[in-house]
Amino acid sequence: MRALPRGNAARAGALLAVVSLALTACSSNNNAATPSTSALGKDHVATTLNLWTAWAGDDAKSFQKMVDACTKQYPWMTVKVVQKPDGLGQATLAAVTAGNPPDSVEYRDAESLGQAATNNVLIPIDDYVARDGLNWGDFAPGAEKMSTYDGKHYTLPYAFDVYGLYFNKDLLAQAGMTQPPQTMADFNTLNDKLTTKNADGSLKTVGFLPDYEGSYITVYGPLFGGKSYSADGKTVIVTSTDGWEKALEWQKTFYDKYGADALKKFKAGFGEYDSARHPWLHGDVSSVFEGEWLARYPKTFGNGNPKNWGFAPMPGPNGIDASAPFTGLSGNSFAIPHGAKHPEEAWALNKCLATDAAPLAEFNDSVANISSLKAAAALSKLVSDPAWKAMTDLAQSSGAVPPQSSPIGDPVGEAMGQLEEKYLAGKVPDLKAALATLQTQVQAQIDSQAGP
Amino acid sequence: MTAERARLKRKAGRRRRLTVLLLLSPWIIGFLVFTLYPICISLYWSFTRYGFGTNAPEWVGLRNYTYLFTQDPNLKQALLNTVFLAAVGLPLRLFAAIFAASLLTRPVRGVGFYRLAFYIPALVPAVASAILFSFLLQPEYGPVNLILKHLGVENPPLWFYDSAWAKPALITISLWGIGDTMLVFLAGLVNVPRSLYEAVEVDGGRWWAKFRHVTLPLISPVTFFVLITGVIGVLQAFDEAYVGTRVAGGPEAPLGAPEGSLLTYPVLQYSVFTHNRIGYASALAWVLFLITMVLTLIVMASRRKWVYAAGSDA
Repeated sequence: MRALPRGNAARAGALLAVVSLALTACSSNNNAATPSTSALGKDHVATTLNLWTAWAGDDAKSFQKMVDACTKQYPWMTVKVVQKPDGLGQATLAAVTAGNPPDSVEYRDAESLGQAATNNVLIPIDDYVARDGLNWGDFAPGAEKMSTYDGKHYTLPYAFDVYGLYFNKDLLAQAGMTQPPQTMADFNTLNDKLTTKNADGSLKTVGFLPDYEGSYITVYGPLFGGKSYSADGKTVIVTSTDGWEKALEWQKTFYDKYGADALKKFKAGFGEYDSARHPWLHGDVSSVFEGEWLARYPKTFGNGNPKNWGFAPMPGPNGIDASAPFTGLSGNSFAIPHGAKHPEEAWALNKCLATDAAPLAEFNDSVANISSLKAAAALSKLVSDPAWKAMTDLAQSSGAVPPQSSPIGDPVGEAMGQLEEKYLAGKVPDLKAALATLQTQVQAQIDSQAGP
Repeated sequence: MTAERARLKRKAGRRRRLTVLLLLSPWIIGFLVFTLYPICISLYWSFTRYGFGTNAPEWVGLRNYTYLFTQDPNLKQALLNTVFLAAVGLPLRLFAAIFAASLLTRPVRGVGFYRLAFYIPALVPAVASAILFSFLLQPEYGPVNLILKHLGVENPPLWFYDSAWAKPALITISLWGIGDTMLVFLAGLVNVPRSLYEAVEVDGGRWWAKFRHVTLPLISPVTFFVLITGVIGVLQAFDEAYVGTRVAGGPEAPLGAPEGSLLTYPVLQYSVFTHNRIGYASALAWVLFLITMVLTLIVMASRRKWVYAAGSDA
């Protein structure tokens, strides 16, 4: 191949440098917003705001109604809602990096909050909160936890996903129980009673599966008291309690009792998650640990089955703490991306969307979500259903735990899922040592990729 | 006058070059912005701590590479899985393609239809074929296991649900899509002179002798081409592995599930990219590029030993 003449090489190099600088410059936009001295009222210069959301289809229509209620409150505000049903998080990252983000975004990645904060993707909202006297006490306790990373607040949560135990009341009665299990021992007994076998020895029904649809250790770990990171997210503290170890050992008891191969085969017979062959709808599994979205499934996919079901908090190693029952928490929030052209106005919109109780309650009812604002949760019409009431109460619990996060996201969660799978398959002889190794490896990962 | 002519000639030459440049400019701009720039910036990012956002990349020297080679707990598994697919899947794919092409060179009725039937699967996108096979290989009610049970196999494989069978399932999918490779071999086979086969017959040789001493050497240039593109392809195995993991584990499946058996190098790289660890992901991409280049060079260096070149004494 002929070498490029020196002059041409220099010109090519210069061109590349110019292109690189131009594109890199786009990613150096670091304009943190400074709030004005007072909150925006009804009078303000006419402003058009871009709001990105993942809601689509009929849900988007309900979402628009909630937005319309805010534009009525602030007549100067025009809101252009842009639907990003696939890859909202990636689209937001790309827009922020390119220096052209929307004014407001819906944020759904609580486990990545630390990374979004560290990479300056979202604007901290503490100054706005303080100036406007926004009271976190108006929200369920989990909301502030979900919004916080390393002492700063970044998002305004408006809806929760809560995890709990979906059980079949008829099967519960069949096992001689009148109420959902209150202790882990009760739960294990119930599961044993409801596990049946076919004539050939294979599993016919199972009381409970500890790892249905992938990995659940990220919720079971905290249920047993497991911790992931220090308060600043930079130190991995997996082995600071025995929570992760106990959670994994508890999951393993199912594999030891029923047999890893038998369970593997049993799970392989399940149908699609979004179908009547969902194992809980179909009756293969008596209870499942799932989020509030499953409440719609018996009607939507299960042809009304199971007919008689309920929802309750999952008992932990010490039973259920009546004053602060545990639940894993995730959900939806509003945030202001770095580089937003109208951060002050976007804050007014976000605050309105997350705190105007009546439209928020109506929207969350329409999409079967649980409001994080206490006043909106109280207005929900769905709470006439006892199961929904149980979910709403659980969402208000101070024992609700949102995912923890580090400056690079949740590497503990990722590594724990891999360990869970291998341990349950019987391929991890020394769990304590494996957890210690995991802690060292993830710490090395954070140190390497996030800096000291 | 001569000077004037030379000036006009230079002007015409300049205009011609400008026209050529103008006509090429869509490609040149596309190449610079969408190919050369990403290549160069990813090399730079691989030496930085960087994630998308508003922070500028921070130079960390070789730290990403050091972490990759000394501390990444997933690297070994990803390389082993990729090597397995290359060492087992690629030869099987080549043999299956040669075998199919040999059958389809025979002058039987309807050979055109059979060629089409073998080729069509190659047109199906990788993700679509992976989803199709996730149904065919469904352990309890998939047709493959139903047939196996009917044939008396008591415990047919759990395929994507079992770490021991997940990679064989991937290889099965890749064998279904041998159509493009088969077509290249077919082109090579029809060019093998009949007279050479007749010479073997005269010497008393049978099908194996024909295949070993005539077919294989004469199609070796084609095999060489297919081997290089195959090595590059297998190092980029992503779609089927990614879909396969989600068949059994759902959307929240751990990386490379079941039990890391489908964790190929590109799956690892994709995971790091989607977790916005861009600096490290760029280092992974460059190491994959270097691995691909080294393997390609090894295959090219072996050419003299086994590739037949007409006119030479090889």
